[in-house]
Amino acid sequence: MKVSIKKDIDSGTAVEIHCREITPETERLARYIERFDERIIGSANGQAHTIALEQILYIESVDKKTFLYTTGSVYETDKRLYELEEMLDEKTFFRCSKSVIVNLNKITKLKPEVTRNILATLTNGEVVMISRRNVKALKTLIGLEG
Amino acid sequence: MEDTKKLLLYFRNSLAFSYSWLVVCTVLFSLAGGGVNLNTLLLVKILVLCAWGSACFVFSFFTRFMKKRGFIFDLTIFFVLFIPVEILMFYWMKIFEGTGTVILWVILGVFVLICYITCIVIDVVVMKKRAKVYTDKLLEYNAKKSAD
Repeated sequence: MKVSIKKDIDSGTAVEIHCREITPETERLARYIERFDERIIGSANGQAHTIALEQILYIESVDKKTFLYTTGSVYETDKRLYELEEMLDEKTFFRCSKSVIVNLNKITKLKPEVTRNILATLTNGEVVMISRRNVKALKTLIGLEG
Repeated sequence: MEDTKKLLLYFRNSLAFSYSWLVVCTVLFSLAGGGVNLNTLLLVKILVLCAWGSACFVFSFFTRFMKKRGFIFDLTIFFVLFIPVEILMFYWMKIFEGTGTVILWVILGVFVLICYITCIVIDVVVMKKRAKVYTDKLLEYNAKKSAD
């Protein structure tokens, strides 16, 4: 793959992919570029913040409000959980229960329970529960099944 | 609100399940010539025991506060809340024909301990191994994803 950088526009950055045909690899590349430096707007203490996706530990919906949890901070966002689920990379952000999406990159330990749920310990020590309904999807995603 | 509704639903289901089973067992025990005398008061006492058991069960295993603590912690809390009341209720219901004998109470204690120890053994031996496999696989998946 040939990569070239041209300084030919006045502001911002534009990326074009030139190819003979659109393959799954080119689509993946496009998705990767689109998600590069992608951020979500969240508010905390009445102030708006842009939060980089790699900072997010997990996203939780409580009483029809959506919260983004990062190490040490909690932000509220206007977006609904299903909107975020559609927007985020499904290989990194996993819907682990009806009300939680977890960042797989931030999980340090998985512990299956007798109840068939899985407890996921995050980098900040918090624990998120992967419900038994979503365990099969997780196993398939990480290559434990199928 | 949704959580409260769900908890009440779990409470209703566990109460219906435990009460029907306990009543069936008591009837069978009574028919088999056991010392239990079936009457309304006994049925009410069984209902109280089942209601307390169901409340402890729902609190220990389904509340948001307890969900993330792990199965053994939940089970311990359930036993701590339920077993003392169960002993008092058994005494009050005269399940062991009055105060019962030491052997009968020891049998009950051993039964509870066996249940508890079995759960701990399963958690430590089986689940610990699985936890390592799952964690390794996830870390491998994350590493592969980053490399791509």
